[in-house]
Amino acid sequence: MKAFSETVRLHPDRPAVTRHDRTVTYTELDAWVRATARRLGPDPGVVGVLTSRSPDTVAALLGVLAAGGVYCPIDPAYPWPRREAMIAASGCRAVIGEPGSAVPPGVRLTRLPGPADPPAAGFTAVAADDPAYILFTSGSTGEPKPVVTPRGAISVVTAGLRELFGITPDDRVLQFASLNWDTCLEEILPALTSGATLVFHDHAYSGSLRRMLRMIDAERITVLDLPTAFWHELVHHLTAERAALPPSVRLVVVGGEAVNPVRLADWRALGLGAVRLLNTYGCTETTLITHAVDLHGPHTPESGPAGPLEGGPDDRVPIGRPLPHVVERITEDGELLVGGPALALGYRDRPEATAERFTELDAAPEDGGPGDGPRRWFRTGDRVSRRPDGALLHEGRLDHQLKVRGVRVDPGEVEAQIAGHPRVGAVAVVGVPVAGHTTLAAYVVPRSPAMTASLAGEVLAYLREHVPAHLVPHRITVVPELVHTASGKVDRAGSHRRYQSAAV
Amino acid sequence: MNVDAVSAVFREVLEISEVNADSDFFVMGGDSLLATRVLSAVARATGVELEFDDLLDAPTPNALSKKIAEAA
Amino acid sequence: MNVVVVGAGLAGLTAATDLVARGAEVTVLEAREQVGGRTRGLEVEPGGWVDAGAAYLGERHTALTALLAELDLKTTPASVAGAGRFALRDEGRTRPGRFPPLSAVALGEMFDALEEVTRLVRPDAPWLTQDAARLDGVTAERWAAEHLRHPDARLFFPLFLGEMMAADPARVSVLHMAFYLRSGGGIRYLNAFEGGAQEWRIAGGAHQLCERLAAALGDRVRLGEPVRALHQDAGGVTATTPRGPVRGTHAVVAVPPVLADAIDHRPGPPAPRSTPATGPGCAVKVHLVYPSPLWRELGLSGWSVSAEGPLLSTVDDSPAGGRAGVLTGFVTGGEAIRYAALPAAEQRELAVAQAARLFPELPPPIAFHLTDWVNEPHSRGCYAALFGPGDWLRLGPGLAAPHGRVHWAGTETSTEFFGLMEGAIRSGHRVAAEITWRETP
Repeated sequence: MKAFSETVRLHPDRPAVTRHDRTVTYTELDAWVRATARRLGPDPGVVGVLTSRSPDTVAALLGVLAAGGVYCPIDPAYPWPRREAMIAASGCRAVIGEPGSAVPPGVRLTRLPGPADPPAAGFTAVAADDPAYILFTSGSTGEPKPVVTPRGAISVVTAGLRELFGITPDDRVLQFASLNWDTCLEEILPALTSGATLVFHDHAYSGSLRRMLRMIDAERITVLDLPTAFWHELVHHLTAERAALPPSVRLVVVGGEAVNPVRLADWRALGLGAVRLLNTYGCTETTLITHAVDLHGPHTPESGPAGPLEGGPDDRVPIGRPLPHVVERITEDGELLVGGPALALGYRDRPEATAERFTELDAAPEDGGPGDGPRRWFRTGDRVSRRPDGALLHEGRLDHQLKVRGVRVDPGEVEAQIAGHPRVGAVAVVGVPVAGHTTLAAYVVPRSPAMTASLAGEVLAYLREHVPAHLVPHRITVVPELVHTASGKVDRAGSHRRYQSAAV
Repeated sequence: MNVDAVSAVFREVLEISEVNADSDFFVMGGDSLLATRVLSAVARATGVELEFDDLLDAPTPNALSKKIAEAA
Repeated sequence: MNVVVVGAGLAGLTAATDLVARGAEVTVLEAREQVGGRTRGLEVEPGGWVDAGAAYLGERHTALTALLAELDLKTTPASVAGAGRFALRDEGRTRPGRFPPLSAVALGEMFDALEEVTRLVRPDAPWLTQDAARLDGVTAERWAAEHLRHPDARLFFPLFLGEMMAADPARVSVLHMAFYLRSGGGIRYLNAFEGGAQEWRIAGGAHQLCERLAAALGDRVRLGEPVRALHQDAGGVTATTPRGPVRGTHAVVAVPPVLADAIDHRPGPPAPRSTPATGPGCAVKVHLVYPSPLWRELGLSGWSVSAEGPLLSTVDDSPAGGRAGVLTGFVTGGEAIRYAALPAAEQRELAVAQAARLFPELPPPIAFHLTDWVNEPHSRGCYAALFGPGDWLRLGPGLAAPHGRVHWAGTETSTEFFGLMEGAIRSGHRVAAEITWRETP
């Protein structure tokens, strides 16, 4: 919040946030944030925010932080049981949302004040290891795991990203990422601590690339932060339609999934030498971005820092090298461990899950760490290898976790949810690539064979009422039995192999 | 046919790059039609004619490479 | 703007809906006493519908999925797991899944060859494909004789082409085969159920698409009015039906090419829309109704593939949430033409006898339905018109090019997803945009 206050002082009249015809200057945003803090009162604890694609959510986020509270975004489109579970698991005492929004008993529903409501005099003082926000990540038990990120982590990462992105007050950053995941903070925090403008626009989410490109041009957007899968679609569109990327764009940040080398080659053939293309990697537990690499553009000399990429289909694209605030090490099984000040505090009220993923190890000399005793590491679960130039290549997962449209999904969580349906006897969930992105396929065994006919539809309807859309399998196949391994466990891949079917 | 060569066939048929020695052909998006194209490529390279069920039993480059060696 | 739309199938009704939304006056003239074109519902039990015509869709059918959302229709997964039955080289073999008991390497070589020729074609304009004249001059049958050596590949090739595009290899050009496979998303996508073009059916039947579109258009849709003539003059177009003339500023012809040519056009279009080589899509769809999907209890999927007709393949099409079990039998390619010519009693006898050979465990079906698309006067084939040797070079450039005030729609005018519901809907959107654009000052 200090960095934000400093920005308000330096750029009082610059536009901080815009949406269509509405512009909020830094001074106005500051007043709005203070009014929100005042409404919440000092140290409000964990505050749930029912998000909306508008500057309101930014005011709510900063207002909660200014009050000394802990921000927890809640997607109002989620089914009620899920929202209720999130509010309970995060320990929300108050929720900011529209009057009449559903909240569990005992939780205070507060409306976001207007920008002109009376402001709080100052921001509540906080310490670096006080929590800043809680975000959920998929867990194998069927319950999402609340990740608690400390204040210190967001300060250091925000400063690191300002540097990495080279954000200046002239930048206009498109707000594109879902406000319910951490990626949106990559857009919001570096922009609003640099004097840049954060641009909301409905045409960013309309599904029409043509409309989005027209909007980017009209709004003179300079920075785009896109899920890799979406960027793949964009490259395809630009190539197939011979469309142009508006000249205002100077930086495109991608992340979330592996960059397809063929799409990268297509991008490089588009003549966008002035546009910097940056691939990024990070986990919710390690706060936004930990690794990055320039893939194309003015910062990419012929042979690095990404190193030479031949552009052939077999040349995998690296996920990058650690940012200055990150220390990394690779275990003997190839797992990437991440340490440094950006680590989350752990999973709220889940000491076992926390101990499993956050581990203390002596710093090895090659970590470049101080070497003064044990260091806390996050086990990413990602298998990586190091290229000769130091950049990391992603080699897969050590567990079964998947990325579905850029969001981490543990198939065990989906299985646990499906098993909650009273007519389901057994279930296996597997991720299958379809048309370039991972989709979930579920194989469901009915409790009684007489019930097969309508079970797939029933399970689908049941899931839609209980879990967010990204956890609903793309297809549900009712099968007589699952395949088991020699040790008697469900063999997810084996079940998929048996029942996958083409018409041949 | 070594593991790398089988991986290369998987990549070509699946049109993806992220194939390693333990990637399951079917979980990576393969189906029975694409499976036949893996088996025809194996036959072209080695003369070994495997059946569809062989790929079901040995769905990774590692396992398939062993199966080809056994059959050769 | 006042548009006469000929044909109340998916293409015509999509175009009409778009045009009404843009403020046009629209009259849809349909020859049949019902809307739907090549989609048709069959009620096999009270409230239980199956598709007698077009049925399947996949994720890449984005115009169709958008239309489903607008019309508040849901999809239902198309496949049920279990073992298949195969009568290819010998009688009735049971195997898990859908893979036939043939040499996988031979089939792989066939798909490699198909993939190669499919990649050659220019999907947006097949007639401009390099080497188009050669590819358009050869039948798929001759191509197969040259490229497929293994007897298993030769046995399977016509079955595959029948299943994919309802074609007899002797009557389509290689260029058309390659284009059709490419246009539908490639051989893998077109062939696959999960993750492919057969991922879903429409819950309650695909016929509801046209019914709902027509309901919203109200009395703009006129049934039982076949258009015999379309005459253009300086001020507009006059469509003539047995009930009299209908006047418009533009016309959309949204019927298959052979039927579009049967209309008396004045002035005549610069090129025909079909030639003597253009054939009907060769499909007859048979529905065998059982008291319940009995095969599922036996671990069978209802899927079968046979080298001998009439039922070259069967699939479980039981209505979701219903009681009845339905096996849909596909009679395609040359077999469809032979079968369609038989007397009704013989058709039934042959199909029931074959089902009994394939699934001896099952009792005789309690009902039998047959939909003959080959001889259907107002469709003249299904899935889509088949372009014979020479057709693409002759017909291709004019397929979607407006003829004065007359614009062309229908799945055969869409280079994307040609032959599918998706292609029809895209053509409807395209033609509505074409007319609106012309009318914009």
